[in-house]
Amino acid sequence: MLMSLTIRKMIAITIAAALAGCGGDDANYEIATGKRLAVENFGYSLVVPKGLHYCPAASGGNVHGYVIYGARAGQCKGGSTEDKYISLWADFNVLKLPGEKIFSRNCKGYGKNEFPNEGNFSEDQKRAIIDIKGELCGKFHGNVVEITTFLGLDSKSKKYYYLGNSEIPDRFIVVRLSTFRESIVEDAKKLNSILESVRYN
Amino acid sequence: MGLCSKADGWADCDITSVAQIQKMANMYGGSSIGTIIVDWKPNAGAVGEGGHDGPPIVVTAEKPEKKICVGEPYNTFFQKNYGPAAQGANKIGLNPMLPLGLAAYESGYGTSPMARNQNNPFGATPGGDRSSGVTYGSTSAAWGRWYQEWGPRVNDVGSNAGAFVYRLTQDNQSGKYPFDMRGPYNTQDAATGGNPTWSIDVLNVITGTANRFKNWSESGC
Repeated sequence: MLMSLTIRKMIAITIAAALAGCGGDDANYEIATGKRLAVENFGYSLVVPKGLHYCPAASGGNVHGYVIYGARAGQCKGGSTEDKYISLWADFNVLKLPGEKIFSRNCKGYGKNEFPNEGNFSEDQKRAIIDIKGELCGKFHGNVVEITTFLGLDSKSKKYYYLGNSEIPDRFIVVRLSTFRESIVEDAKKLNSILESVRYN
Repeated sequence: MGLCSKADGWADCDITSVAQIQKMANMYGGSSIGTIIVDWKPNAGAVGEGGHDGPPIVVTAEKPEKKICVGEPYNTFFQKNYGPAAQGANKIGLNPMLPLGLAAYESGYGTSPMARNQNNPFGATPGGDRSSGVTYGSTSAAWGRWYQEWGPRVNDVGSNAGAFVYRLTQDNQSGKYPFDMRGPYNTQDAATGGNPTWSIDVLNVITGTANRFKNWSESGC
């Protein structure tokens, strides 16, 4: 469970005053109620599992998605940096290159099928990683496991899909899971639950 | 880390993806991206295999042989945004392509709901953390607000795209630098709601925007 968070570092990063069109309020995280959360400017919504804490993921006040924690002592705009989180960050694809058909933002590290073959992961842990939705990639260092996967949002078809070797959509979501070896199984389930909840508005 | 300023010769700027930016410049039609400076750090040693040890590289414009119509959504984006972007930029000695590229990144070249319906090309939200964006009376008003908020931070970067994004990503709540008391535009840390690739993404879009603007402005389309 994400409640067993280990705080790696306490750094006072506050993004409040950085946000365009706003002052420097100190919003607390919110606790998910199971209601659907909209990311209006990028045309999608998602459901954060009930009880988890979340904060907006923003750039200059433009909300691109959410970062989701189990429990959190700090505030969204000035709290702790956690080792364990799930973040969803949407971007418009503003780099459409002529002739490019394949989504090229592959992360470096272990591919989905290579990933569990090192690092003494148990069979359950390997299965949990393989079962994460999408064309993911992952890496681990020490006890920390980082997984990245992608969703495409296509405004013409009004559909979303997991990105692999597919046509480049006009917007996409980068989804990141950072967790620990011992909690990868349960956190992978949470990640899949969130991925399955994504809807194109 | 210093201020990353012109006065310091940009010596404390630290963007390490120069080669990638150069590659993007090449992808967008040779070196024709105007006068955006893509590397400014002496002794960076990062451009191509030979490294770079010298003055900043200025990627200069090359006039395309054929006029290229940029089409939509770029036509509308430039029509709506270039004027107010340039008006504000001229006041602070900033190349308008830099904030224009940022607006292109944040709005998908003006295709975002907030850009289309609320004259809000930066996706600014009330309080900075609400999904419903600010509705401006005009696109010019949105740009005026952006310059009011962020102009002091970038008022001496000229055409230096690296310094532009570097300045925006600084956490200045302590008032370390003289320009404002704001946090970073983007923390670049997913754990705190940022995007780890924000700087390189914005730099890439600035490059593409500059090239598209050049084609748009010369095409008469």
